[in-house]
Amino acid sequence: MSKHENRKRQASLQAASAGGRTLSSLGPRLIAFFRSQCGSVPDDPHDSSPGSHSSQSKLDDGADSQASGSSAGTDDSVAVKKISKYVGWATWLAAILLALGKKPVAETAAGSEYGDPLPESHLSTPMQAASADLKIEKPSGSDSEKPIEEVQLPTQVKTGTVLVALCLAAAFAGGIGFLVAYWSGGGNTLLGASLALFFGGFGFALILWSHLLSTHIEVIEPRESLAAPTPDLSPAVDDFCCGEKMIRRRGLLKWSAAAGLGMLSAMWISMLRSFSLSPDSSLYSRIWKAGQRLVTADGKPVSVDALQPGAMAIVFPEESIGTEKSQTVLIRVRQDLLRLPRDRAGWAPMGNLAYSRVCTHAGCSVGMYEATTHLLMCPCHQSTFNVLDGAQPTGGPAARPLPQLPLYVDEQGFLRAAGGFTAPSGPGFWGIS
Amino acid sequence: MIRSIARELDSRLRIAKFVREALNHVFPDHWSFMLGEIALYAFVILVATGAFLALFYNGSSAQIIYHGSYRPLDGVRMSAAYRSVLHISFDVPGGLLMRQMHHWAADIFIAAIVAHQARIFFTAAYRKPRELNWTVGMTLLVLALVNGFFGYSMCDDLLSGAGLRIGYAIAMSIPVIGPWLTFILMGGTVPVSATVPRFYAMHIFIVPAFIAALIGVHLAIVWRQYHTNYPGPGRADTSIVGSRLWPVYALKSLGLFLLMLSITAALGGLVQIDPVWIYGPANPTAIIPGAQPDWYLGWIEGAMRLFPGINLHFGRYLIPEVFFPAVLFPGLLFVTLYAYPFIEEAFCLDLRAHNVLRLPSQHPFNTALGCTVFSVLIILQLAGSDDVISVVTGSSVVALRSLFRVLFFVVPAIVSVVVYLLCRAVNGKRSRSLSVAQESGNEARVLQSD
Repeated sequence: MSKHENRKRQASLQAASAGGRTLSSLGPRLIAFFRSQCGSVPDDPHDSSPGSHSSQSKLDDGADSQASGSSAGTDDSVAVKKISKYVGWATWLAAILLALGKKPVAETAAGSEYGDPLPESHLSTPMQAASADLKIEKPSGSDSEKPIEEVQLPTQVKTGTVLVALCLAAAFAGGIGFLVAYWSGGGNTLLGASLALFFGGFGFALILWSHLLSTHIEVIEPRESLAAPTPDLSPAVDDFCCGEKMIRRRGLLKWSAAAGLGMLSAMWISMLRSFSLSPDSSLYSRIWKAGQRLVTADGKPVSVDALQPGAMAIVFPEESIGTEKSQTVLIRVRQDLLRLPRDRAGWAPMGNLAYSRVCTHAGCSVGMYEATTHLLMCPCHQSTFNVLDGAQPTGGPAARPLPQLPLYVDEQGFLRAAGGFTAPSGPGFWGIS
Repeated sequence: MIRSIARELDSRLRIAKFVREALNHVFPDHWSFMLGEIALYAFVILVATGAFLALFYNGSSAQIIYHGSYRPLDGVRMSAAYRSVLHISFDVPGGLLMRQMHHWAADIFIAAIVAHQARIFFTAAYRKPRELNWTVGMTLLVLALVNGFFGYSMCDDLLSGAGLRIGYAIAMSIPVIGPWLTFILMGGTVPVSATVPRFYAMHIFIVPAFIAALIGVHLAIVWRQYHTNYPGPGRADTSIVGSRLWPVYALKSLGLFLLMLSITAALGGLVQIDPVWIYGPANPTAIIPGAQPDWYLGWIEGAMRLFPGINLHFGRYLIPEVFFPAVLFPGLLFVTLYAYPFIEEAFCLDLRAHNVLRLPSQHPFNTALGCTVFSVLIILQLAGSDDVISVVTGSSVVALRSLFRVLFFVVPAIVSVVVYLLCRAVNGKRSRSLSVAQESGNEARVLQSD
């Protein structure tokens, strides 16, 4: 048995003397258990090992197979080898991470000088020459590139390397800052700044590093002409069509398949029903019913002299306070200013005017009222409506007036609706008029 | 170690040839070719931060009374969606950072796509064989715009509530199918409880799935066709000039990604965006003065503000005024952009494959057209904030609107003529200097032969 085996035995003896079964022997046992579950592995590993190893070493002739091929011990030793392999990988990873800052020096030493612009001759290499060199063999590796020269490290590379290291250090500091800020419940500013420092440092480091890797090598490769007819095209089309020909009575089949597809899409489209009840009569609703009292958002009825001339209030029908479509603006103006159409005479008792508060343009709340000009204005697109003449649009993008609500005063002096809005409230749509 | 991993992989997948080709793939270097990369990385950041947010967001418009840690809104009635956004912003560690990074990344994403498409337009990279990828890119732009709207509507704050109602009005304005389309999309007359869950599913699943798939298609096509080159010495349609993917290009690109992360983190941490707690919850009877959409919808907002109140009645039927600036105009613009490569091909009878770009000055008509479209969009963008401009400058909104209505026609007219003449001038100068160079070259050759 190999040294490995002996060492392992010693270790297990020590472990046993230290206090029975330990974790170090548990791992290999577990692995052995799982190995025994594999269907392809015979019960006795000793019999099978030579064969399996030889076949393996045919496939891979690297350093790893030497290690695994030389000693075919018990399943314990196999497991140890595996574990040591993992440890090796982990060490490698750590080494790579540690070497990140140093790497550029080595790379550039083997590469070309830094910062030297590409010779003109290389840039203007005639294409014929380039393609003669490369043939169509693509990728061509580094054949066409500048010959690799051993050069002395210019100072730029040294400063560049230092800069990369500094950037990575800044990133590291940013990362620590983020962790500290995060775990100590730091504010958004601190979190964002430290995260920005981390990513920024890392990003600058990579970009600087890429500059150290002699960016100035420019490659010229011939392009495959995608437009030229390819020899595969015609056979491909033939294969597709012939495949179809092999099926008999394809006319019938084609039509039934098309019908099936049509049915599928019809079924699929009809499933859209699940997504909404189709637009219903509520779109055409005039919201208010005759006799409904006007109430404020907190449910108080509005008396006819509640507002001074020039004042504005938001009111709702008594039963639907706060809903979008029912919001109504109540404005009181001096009665002698009114220029309502003749058929709306008496709709504004004592100068109280009520209009839908939903803009007919794009549905925002017409929230602003300018008492001096008697204009209602929508803050979204600046449509203006003159309240004196039935809220006709006076400029801006709206085309239709705000629907008006006819009012009357009941015996107790409260305002009530004499009917619905003159039109459905809200923006226009197909079929509204 | 790498060798052994590679051997293990290759003995199972036979990928060595493909990987070698990939590592040696040639990409040209130019700052303007980074714009697409920026868009790609912005999308990656969007997915990462969005996944974080989705774990805390509650896509429900059930009405609740708030009693959370943000005291100013204590006792206020709001939707569960809005409450969850407040929760993300104030209670989840790093939540506000993720939310603001997400919003900033979305703005950068769309800006990068627009800049990328503009670069492609002005350098005529859309010509054969790249017409397909141009249409893929346009579709990505449309999807990004739509998803941006879904995204900020989901916060269910007062500002996005207004945006939702405007969106509703726009969708309803489409002739014949408008009301059905709107109800299918939003689930009823806005505000309705069905809208937020629908927008949630659209925003985090359906639209991003399409965007991701199309990005895959986009990159596959770029990979297959190789990138274009700017014109220059040694540049021809039959060759590709650039650096290899590995290691320089890959390192630089990864560095760009990290810098993007850095910039979005800095913006997310230091520059406030969409502070929904200031606006308050969505309320159908309230409105914010000076409300603006996100920048990428500002041009539609501006068009809606400038377009005069014209609507068409057909008996019982109506095409409302919103349809023309908010559906017809963007629709025509996008259809034209989609079709532009094919229009140019048909018009110029040019069906050759082009791999060397055309400089903007080399095609004055194309460049003038592009600049004209951009000037229109900029005027509309400004008109979309005319209320804010009015507050800042003290001039009346009505006067500003009239001014912008005039500028809408005057500025593009001037821009088109000026850009056209400028291109002609630059082009003439270049061809003169080229011919001088040719002549001197001939002289040199003559001298040499002597």
